[in-house]
Amino acid sequence: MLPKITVDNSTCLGPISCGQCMKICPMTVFIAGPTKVWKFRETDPKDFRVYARYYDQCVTCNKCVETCPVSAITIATNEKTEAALAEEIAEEVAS
Amino acid sequence: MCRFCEEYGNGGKWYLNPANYARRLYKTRKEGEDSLGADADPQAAGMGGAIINEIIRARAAGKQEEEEIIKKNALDAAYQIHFAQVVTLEETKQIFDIAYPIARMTCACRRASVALPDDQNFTCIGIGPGMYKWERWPETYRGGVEFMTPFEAKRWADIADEAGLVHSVDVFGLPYIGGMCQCEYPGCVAIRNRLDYDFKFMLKGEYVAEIDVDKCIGCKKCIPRCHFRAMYFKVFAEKAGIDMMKCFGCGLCRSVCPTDAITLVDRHSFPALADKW
Ligand code: SF4
Ligand code: SF4
Ligand code: SF4
Ligand code: SF4
Ligand code: SF4
Repeated sequence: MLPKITVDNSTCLGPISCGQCMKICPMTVFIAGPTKVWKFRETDPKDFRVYARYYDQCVTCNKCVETCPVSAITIATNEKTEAALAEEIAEEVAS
Repeated sequence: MCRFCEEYGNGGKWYLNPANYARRLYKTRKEGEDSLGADADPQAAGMGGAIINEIIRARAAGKQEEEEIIKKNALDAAYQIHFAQVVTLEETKQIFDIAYPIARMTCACRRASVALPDDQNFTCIGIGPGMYKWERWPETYRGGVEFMTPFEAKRWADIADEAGLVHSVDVFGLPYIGGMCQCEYPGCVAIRNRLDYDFKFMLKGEYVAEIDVDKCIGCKKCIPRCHFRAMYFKVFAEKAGIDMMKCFGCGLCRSVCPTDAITLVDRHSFPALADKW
């Protein structure tokens, strides 16, 4: 069953200043990804956010949820088919 | 010899051919639509973030065929623009004598996977004339570069090898090599995506490791050195084992063997492995 991991980037303290979820996750699910793409330049570290790129590897141990100091992470396990959920997550990642 | 050696090797290994380090200093800036191409966005070109998201979506949805198509299209482009290949420690040092200039720069993968601030992340090596650009515009290029002498770079490669990091060459616009990466699973996006999603952005090296069972004393030192899940321990024989189909020929296992039981052999001396990149 595919978990749906959501990071609330409006409360998250940011990957560089906090990054606790990234350190604790046994499956290295989280990465610091750019929020926008600059033409002809690298993304400024300030423009990085945490997101669960490798969600398909999550083992639903809940460690990230427990460690987050501002409760920015939620993990939902629901009834949707894997295919529908994967499309839904992909859309959110892209937006 | 791989296909890149055949085309760009001038009779030898392609990454030991000095011509492949002699890129022009200035590129002509493309206009219009073309300016939005892959090399307009070093971030996306380097880490293939959008592509790996697509691969994961297809895989999580159980759409195997779609996953294969995404990979094939992405790799057709990658093998022209940006990909990596594993090399050995000796070769890394040889390259530091061929390529100029050599500079330490921040590692894009470890920034993404460990969120290291740039000033603590000068762990990647860039080479060639592109480095002058990095020096000139540090705000554009992740804090710029620190130039190194070949001697310093070789020492850095030794430190990386001891720490257990895989050496690789990185292409920026075939056939030009612009990076000498020192990487690990799962921090390195290239290694991770290769191992977890079979996305062949990083190619195996020209060698495979072989164990001389008579020399192996079963000390197990080599086993945790392998990033590519190729090593195991034969419990009853009390010897280390290597799955040569999986071996990338990085040589990290060999560096720690106290009895020199492990040697790197040319991949092409095994017909069954010669086309397994
Ligand atoms: S639940 Fe566990 S495996 Fe899943 S993302 Fe959180 S820490 Fe990682
Ligand atoms: S632990 Fe919470 S606050 Fe810290 S980086 Fe992760 S999501 Fe953000
Ligand atoms: S390939 Fe290796 S050294 Fe290069 S950016 Fe990625 S992890 Fe860093
Ligand atoms: S078996 Fe040795 S040479 Fe082969 S990939 Fe593993 S560590 Fe590298
Ligand atoms: S390090 Fe050498 S001697 Fe020790 S187990 Fe590995 S191959 Fe055998």
